[in-house]
Amino acid sequence: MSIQNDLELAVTRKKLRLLEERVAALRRQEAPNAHMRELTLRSLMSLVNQLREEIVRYTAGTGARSIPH
Amino acid sequence: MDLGMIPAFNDDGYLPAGVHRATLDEVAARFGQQSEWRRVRAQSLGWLVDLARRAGALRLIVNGSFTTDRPEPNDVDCVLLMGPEFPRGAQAEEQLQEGLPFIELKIVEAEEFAFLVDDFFATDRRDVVKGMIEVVL
Repeated sequence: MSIQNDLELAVTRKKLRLLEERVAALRRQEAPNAHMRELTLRSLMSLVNQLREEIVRYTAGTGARSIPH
Repeated sequence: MDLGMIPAFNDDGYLPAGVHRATLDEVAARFGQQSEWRRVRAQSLGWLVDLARRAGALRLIVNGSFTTDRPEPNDVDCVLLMGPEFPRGAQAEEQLQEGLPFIELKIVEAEEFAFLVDDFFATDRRDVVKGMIEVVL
């Protein structure tokens, strides 16, 4: 899947921001099951990286100056 | 087990909003028959269900283009909620982490499972609401 237009870019950025907030919160919290927490963070980070890549591909392709945040 | 018919796609080609429970057989019959492309993905989903059961998973959600009307979907996006005994079976867990062909798997804790299912995966990249499937384990 790839971002097709600016609306999709905005939605993808919103989803990325939500994910990054979840990751940051999880890293601050104590884990009842350290192994499970590690798997959870790995799963969320793979999504974060996927969205970051999609944003960079789109913004590079359209010549936009935006960067993922 | 027959949990009833998986609902029809809406005009966007998505399932209606919400989580629709179904057996693996029902999922394979609905989403895994139309092409070889879909058949191999359904087969891999079957392997995942087996591993998930052996690893002590509680819930398995399937979403993404596999559960839409797209004839050639991407990988099958899955979210797995593990039980409190996890990892129950070391071998099953190892195989889950090694991955399966055509399966994009996220293994998460309960709170993040709820976030992904109720929020993150509940809309597409245009913010259009879409439904998903829960495979009965």
